[in-house]
Amino acid sequence: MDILGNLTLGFLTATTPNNLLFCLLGCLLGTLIGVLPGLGPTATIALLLPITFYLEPVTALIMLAGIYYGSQYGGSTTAILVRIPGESASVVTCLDGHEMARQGRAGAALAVAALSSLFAGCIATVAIAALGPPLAMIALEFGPAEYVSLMVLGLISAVVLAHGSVLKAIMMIFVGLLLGLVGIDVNSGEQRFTFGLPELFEGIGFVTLAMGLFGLAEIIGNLEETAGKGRVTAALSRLWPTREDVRRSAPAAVRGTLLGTALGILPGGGSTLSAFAAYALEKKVSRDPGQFGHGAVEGVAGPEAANNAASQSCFIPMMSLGIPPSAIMALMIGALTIHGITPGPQVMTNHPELFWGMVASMWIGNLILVVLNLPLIGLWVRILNVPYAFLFPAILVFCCIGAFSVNNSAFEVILMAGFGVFGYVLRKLGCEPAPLLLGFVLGPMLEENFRRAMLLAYGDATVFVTRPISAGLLLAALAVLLLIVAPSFRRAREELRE
Amino acid sequence: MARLVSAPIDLATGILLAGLGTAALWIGWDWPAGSLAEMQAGFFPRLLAAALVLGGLALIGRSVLTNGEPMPRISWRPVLGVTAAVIAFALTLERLGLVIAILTVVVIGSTAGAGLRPLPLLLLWLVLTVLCGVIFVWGVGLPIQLAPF
Repeated sequence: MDILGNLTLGFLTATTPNNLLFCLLGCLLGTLIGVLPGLGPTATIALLLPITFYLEPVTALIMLAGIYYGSQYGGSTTAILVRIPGESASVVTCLDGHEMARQGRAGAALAVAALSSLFAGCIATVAIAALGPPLAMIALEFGPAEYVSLMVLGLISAVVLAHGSVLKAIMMIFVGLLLGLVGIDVNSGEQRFTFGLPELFEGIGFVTLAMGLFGLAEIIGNLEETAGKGRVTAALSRLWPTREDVRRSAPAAVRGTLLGTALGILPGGGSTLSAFAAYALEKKVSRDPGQFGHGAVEGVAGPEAANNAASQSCFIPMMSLGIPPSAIMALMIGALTIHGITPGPQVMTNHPELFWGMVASMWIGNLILVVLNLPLIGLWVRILNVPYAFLFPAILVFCCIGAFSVNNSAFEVILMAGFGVFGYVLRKLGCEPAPLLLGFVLGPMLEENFRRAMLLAYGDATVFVTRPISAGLLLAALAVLLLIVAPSFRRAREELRE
Repeated sequence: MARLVSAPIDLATGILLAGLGTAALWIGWDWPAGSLAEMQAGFFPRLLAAALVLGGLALIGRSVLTNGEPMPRISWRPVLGVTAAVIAFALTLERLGLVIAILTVVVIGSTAGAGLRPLPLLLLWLVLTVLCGVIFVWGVGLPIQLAPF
């Protein structure tokens, strides 16, 4: 296939003044939405869907895509500054990004996040252009059994995130999986853990849970540790990353990009899973894993690159197979069908300008995002200079409105308060909330695919090891588990001896 | 110093997890589990709940065998202050509107910390009200009333 010709067509389509304008508009809107807690990209795209009817299909798609990755970028900003993950993929950025901000290196963290994302975007764009169509075929090889094994691998690698006890981290995953089941079971219509409350029929909102466990628990913890005064963040040392930061984060960004591009192709949780996996990978290859969780710049660069690469490569299954990997992608397919275009393998041949125009616009969108955001970094870090006595009630108000906007109901706000207390208790008990959130996100998908895999195999559980791809993934999961358990097992034995 | 339970944090975590698992088992007692080939609504929750109970028991066991840090103190002021502020927001928003809901969050919330003097508090309330009114009500168009009338 003529990649160069296709890319040229793409760039010609994406750089028409009209398309550029809507790309810019989408990125701008997306960043704003991402920075406001609660209001996710799904809601915004849903709101804007009717407007896109008046646009050209390419333009509509370019703008929606801009909102999508713009909001992901904005989500990282709040994760770094105030430790509130805007959406599931930026949970990982909270860990080391916010720690960097506390050490007065918020500017460096934001810049590394932006530049790693741009780097990932450049590579992923080329990768999509070169490998898109054949890669999409790999995704077709994935049956339910493979998905289950992949998710097991992802969940196991989330354990690496925790610095404390392995057993507690695994238990947090189970708590998350259980929380993910709340609501009406899609297969039988049975109400599970709803206590008859109609507000819980559709399950617990991710935003509600994340803002409670991270945002509120963080505020309570901060106030507690500083006797109500609030943590004084170290004075801003410098706005830009040091040479050392760049040297350490460049290889991390490369690894994250590769991982993200590969995992993003698989429908379902691609970008979240890849961010978690990238963090685990960085911690494993690092010569000094103890730094992670205490402001390691690799812990920002790797996951941010992976997240961005995955959110681009997840367009591959959508455009080529018509499989929406997430709710947002499903909405984008909706936008296409409004214009009478059915996504599927024929899109690339019938509407080449649509596919390649979007690929090119992703790269342009990334560039726009960096150009938009680098000058804003100076403004963002100034938020950290606001005295905590003013800052934390403001964060509380934003969290409350964010939780309310999930379903336009006060119930979500009360639920968030409950999760805030729960998060504080977990913190006190040395349990980390990040594995819990990954379990929560993957829970429904894991159950669904497990159920399907067993149905197809007539209840024969060996299917997970007899199918080669699935067996390989499970072996990888086992290897990761052994890597984690071995040192901590040794430590526990030493403790016993003492 | 010899204590009966040498790792009280592990013990508390174990009790919490085993308790959660037991509660989940109890709530889902009537759900049909089906078989492995045809899983019903009860299968997966029961699997997870059983894992939680086992893990919780393992932690309880471990708490007797290993040494750990003493139980941390709980500081009630920030916990209660933050929680009360959020719940107050939930209760006031739909009845009294955004302006008053923000006031309750700021007033109750600031008691969680060192507290604010009346004038800075008033200022914070004004800034937040204008900001949230413009962004969320006017800009995003959330169905929120500003005032009770």
